[in-house]
Amino acid sequence: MRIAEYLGRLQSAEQQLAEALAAVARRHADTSPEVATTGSLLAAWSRQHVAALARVIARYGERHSNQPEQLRRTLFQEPRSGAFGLLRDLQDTSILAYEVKLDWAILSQAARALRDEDLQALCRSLGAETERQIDWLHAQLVEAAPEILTVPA
Amino acid sequence: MQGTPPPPRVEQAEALAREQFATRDSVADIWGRPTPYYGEGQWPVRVDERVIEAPERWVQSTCLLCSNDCGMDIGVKGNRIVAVRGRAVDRVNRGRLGPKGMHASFANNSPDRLTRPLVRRNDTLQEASWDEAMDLIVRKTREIRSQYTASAIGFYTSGQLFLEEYYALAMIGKAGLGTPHMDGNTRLCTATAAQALIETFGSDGQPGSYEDFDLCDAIFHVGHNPAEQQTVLWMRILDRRRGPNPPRIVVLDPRNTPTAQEADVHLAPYPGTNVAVLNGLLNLVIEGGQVDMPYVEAHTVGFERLREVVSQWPPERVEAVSGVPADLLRAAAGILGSAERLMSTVLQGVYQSNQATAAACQVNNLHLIRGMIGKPGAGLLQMNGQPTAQNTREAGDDGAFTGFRNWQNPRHMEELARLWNVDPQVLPAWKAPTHIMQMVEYIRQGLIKMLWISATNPGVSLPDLPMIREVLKKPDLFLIVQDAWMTETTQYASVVLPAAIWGEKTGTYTNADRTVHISYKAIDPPGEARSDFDIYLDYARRMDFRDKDGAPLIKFSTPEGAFESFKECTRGRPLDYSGLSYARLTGGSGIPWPVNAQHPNGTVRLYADGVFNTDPDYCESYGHDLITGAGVKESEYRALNPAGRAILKAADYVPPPEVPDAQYPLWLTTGRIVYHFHTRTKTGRAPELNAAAPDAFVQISNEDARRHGIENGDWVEVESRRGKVIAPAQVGNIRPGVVFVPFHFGYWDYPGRPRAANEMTIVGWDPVSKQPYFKFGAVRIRKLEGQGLRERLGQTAERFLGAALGARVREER
Repeated sequence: MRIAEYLGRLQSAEQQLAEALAAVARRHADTSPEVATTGSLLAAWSRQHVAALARVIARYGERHSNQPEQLRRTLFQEPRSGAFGLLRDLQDTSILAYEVKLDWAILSQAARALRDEDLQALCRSLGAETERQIDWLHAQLVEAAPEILTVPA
Repeated sequence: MQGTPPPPRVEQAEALAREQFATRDSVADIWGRPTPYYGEGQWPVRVDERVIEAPERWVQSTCLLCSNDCGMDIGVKGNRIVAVRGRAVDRVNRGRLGPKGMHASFANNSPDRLTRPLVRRNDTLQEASWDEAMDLIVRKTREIRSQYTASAIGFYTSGQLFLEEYYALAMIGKAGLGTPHMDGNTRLCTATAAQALIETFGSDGQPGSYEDFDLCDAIFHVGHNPAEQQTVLWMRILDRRRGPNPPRIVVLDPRNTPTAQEADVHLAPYPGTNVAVLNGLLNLVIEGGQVDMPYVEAHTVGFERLREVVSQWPPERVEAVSGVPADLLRAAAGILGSAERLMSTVLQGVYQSNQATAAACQVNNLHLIRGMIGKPGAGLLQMNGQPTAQNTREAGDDGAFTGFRNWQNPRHMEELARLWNVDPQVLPAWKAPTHIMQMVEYIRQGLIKMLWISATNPGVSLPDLPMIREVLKKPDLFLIVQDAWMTETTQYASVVLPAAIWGEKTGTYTNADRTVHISYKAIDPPGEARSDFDIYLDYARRMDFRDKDGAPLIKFSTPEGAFESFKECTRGRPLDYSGLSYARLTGGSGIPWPVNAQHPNGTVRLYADGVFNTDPDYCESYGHDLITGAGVKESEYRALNPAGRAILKAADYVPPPEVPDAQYPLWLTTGRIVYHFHTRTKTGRAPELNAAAPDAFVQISNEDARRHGIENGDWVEVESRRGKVIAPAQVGNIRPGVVFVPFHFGYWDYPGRPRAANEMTIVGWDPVSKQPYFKFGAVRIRKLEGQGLRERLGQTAERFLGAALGARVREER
């Protein structure tokens, strides 16, 4: 079964998302306390997802994927600062979050085919939290974008 | 109610009350003589008045010193306010007035009013003509708009302007300039009230009424201290408590306030843990089988999720997180779960704390699951703090769009554009209006270049004052400050505009139970001071704002004309004012909205039919994720299909972003005291109030005082990661581990030492309502001693200290 590949990929993607959220929260704490506070909270969600996936991996095994890490390194090549830097950081974090979302959707389909109700429930509840992470990133982006893109600093 | 005599007719009662209740010393006797009563419509009249000189005439007005908005007449002699008197006929106060109304209402007469515009030249503020000041403002507006767009311009107003003024400014900002940056200091005060109402009921608007206090059998004050903040409402509650059928009271507050001292059950949690406590209470009510299931099934959505979330909060876990003993929590739940007519009020202890909107929504949930809404004696008030806070929300000067319209609903925006005869594209409806702390950040980054502040004092009231001062003094910021006095904020202004205030202008405002009042001009403003209304209209004329047919954007020229225009914006909306007029508001009592053909005499309580404003095409917002603050998408909202049912929104507890640690081991909480309002611009000019509470203090528990060797009256320094305050200690009446500092005191009358509580507060806000946190943060404390302390603090230190302790004694009595 190649489900182990996706378990590994998802766990790695969640790990990368947690790191990205935590880094963005830290880096922009001075200019956006909301990103600092909520970003840290959402990073903790992803760390919890990593731990929850460990229990599934105990059953199905895992093939580690380093693609999510490569993706994060490509997206975040250098630390960004300022309002425009925050916008770019939030957007790139969203790309990682979409990777996680797709992985949950794919895994969820496998869980249905396997009639694995525990895994289905996990995909539903944790996948819903990924959606909330994406919604938050989206909300931050639409709030910040018009000011940053249209008003000359 | 059998055997209770009918209330006397108003005029008889008024004569009787005058005789019985001659002017009291409201500073010493805050709430006055009790008038116990039983039942709706029976709260006796008691006319409070304060007469300095015999007035030549009385002018109808409304007190403007808290969100109660008590009916008040102004006594005038010559061009001076010489008396105030409560209006016996008014539903809000039945003649009563509190100490702030009875004293600070005379502040108009103070000799240090601003009387001429000031313009900064050679780095000093110098007198200028109105033409010079306004031409400069218009020139700068045009320059900044053409170089940086209107998104480089922000407005920051108040909870103390009149409805007509907010409305005129909303048109200027939203339809004239089209800037998304409009907020008021109501963001610090009632942003969460509005947001919690919107999340649960679909729109702003208090479900309950003050009349519900006449009938309730239990009251839940959640982070609300009406004994000090809304003294006249507290008189009503005390009168029920002294009557034959007193309601039981539960209070949630880390301090042992006068309100808490009256309570049957006082829950004193650690700061920032409200959601844990409220979830615990909901859990006990649900476990106890005290849910009105038919009501829940017919009128709400989301119960199963709520049950699931709160079931994680048994009393022992609540105790471990909040410090509230499990038995006390059970006792409180016993009262809340068994009440037949439950009345709740919520204020800053929730709104300015951790998870503000999430916590406020749990109080809504308590009422919904118990079916305690829309019926006599049962309801809730997500309270306001400031007298006209409701009107900023109604007019659209803070996080809202005019008439409680949903900025995400294109039909709502088209309707507003049609009412104002402008192209819908003009309206800044691409995002929620910018909140003040975001505006501060945009100024810091050089994105906002012009800020126009009216009737508020961020130099004392915003968090992290060391940072705020740096922002206000930025050289690339064109700062307009419109006020009646020089304040801690005016000193940074590029232009200062002298404003006429309450008593010097006519307009309307709406209190915390939706009651609309009128306040007439009683005297002329000093010197060249002009009303905020006239200033805004003058600006609009000079800017030559036009509608889409080329006519002037603002077509009214008087407050009454503005009121009529605003009425059209409310027709068919939850806050329908269409049945109101200046004439109807004159002579009698204030009237609660909606007032329309269906409810010609106003509406005492909303949602009597269990139909809420949650229809997707009608609601003010599709709501938010209570934890992340992200907006709910329209499609998700429609899928939820609330269709007139209230939305039970559950939220798990999330710890606050700053907690005590080894370096800063104590919690800081800030707040108000009975004798002052906001940053004391008026109350500080009332000699009696100033004498009663002349200075800041640091309230600390007996246990913490002992640990630090601090005694009552010792000078102490409290320090956070942002800044510090030096003030005398007041020992007792607060939870161990928590320090309280009142936020009123700044520097305009006493620049000698750091004493503004906001020197220490954190920069952060509720993710949903964007209301800043003032009720938690980590600090350390030390006793100041040694030679030279008195010299450092100035000669007046002992006098201040003595009077501060005197106030404490009175408060404890």
